[in-house]
Amino acid sequence: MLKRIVNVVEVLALAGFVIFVLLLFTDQPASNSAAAPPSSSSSSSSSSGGGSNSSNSSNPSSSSGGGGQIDGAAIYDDKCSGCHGSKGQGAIGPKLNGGSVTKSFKNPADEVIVVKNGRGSMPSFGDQLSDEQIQAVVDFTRNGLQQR
Amino acid sequence: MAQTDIAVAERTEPAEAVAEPAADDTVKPATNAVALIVVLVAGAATSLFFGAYGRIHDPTGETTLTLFFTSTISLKVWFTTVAIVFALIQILTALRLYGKIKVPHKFPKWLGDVHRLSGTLAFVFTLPVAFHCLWALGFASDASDPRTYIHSIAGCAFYGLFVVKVLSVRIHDLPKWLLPVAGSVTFAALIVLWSTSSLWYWQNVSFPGV
Repeated sequence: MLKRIVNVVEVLALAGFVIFVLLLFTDQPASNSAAAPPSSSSSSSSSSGGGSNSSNSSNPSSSSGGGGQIDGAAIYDDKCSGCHGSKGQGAIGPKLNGGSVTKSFKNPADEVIVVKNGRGSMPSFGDQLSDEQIQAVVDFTRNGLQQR
Repeated sequence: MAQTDIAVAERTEPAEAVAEPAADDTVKPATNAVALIVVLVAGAATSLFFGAYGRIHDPTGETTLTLFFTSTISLKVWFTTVAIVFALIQILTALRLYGKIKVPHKFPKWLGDVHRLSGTLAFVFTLPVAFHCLWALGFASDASDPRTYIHSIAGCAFYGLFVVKVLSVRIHDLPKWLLPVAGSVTFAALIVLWSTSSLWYWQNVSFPGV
């Protein structure tokens, strides 16, 4: 009986490995699809439209209600929280909350460059996010994230 | 992997019999040098494949699975730890199969199956972790960050070593030392992976971090 279970598990493991390898190639995110178009984001709260950038600053955690605004919070949840933590507390990536990000990047433009081009083990998002989206998420990390 | 440990289990019985005098010591089965090279090349190719993918693929930086964890990272931390636990079981059962330890004193019939199952489950638990590493984070080639650099190398090496181990179970005319060495080094690679991720996370970010 145990032998039979082991055989089944081994077959499933083999299938899992094949799926794992296939997913590496087939599950590529389309550029700008994850956070850009309002309906295609995996985050249900994401909505954008291509409007301008830093208007999120005043109400950064939920600025997606109106038309044309980019939700920096939604982009953060989708693209950044996996490494930096949902509250910016840090994980694989460094801590961003508690003023850490403004301490590291006194000038927001420097943070924009890092998000756009990547640095060290951080991937670049220049080909996944528009300039406006990058600006929105940078604004969010500097303002909205601190309120979470 | 699926068949990996079958041969271990199959070799178990001979291993048990090792205690008996090796009557045919003079008649050594010829090892197949070509097979050995093929196995090693397959392992190297696997490692290179994942390393190349990690380098070439543009990391998405996105989250993948979270299940009941608060984040993908938490899931990875715990899945890697579960893999380590299963790998430990496999190592211990392997030691018993090879007669290196005598606990349990009486050889249980199910030991070979437990050995196979633990190895398979350890492997399965690494898959979602590796997927996120490769797909979302990529190969960290920045040597100025030794932790991620070593982690990336160990991750790629792990699957190559695993392939060598699997093949060395299935192909019987390989040198006798290959299977235990491949198994041990695979386990060591997993320990390096865990130390540079889960352990680091608990020490530097949060514990238990679920």
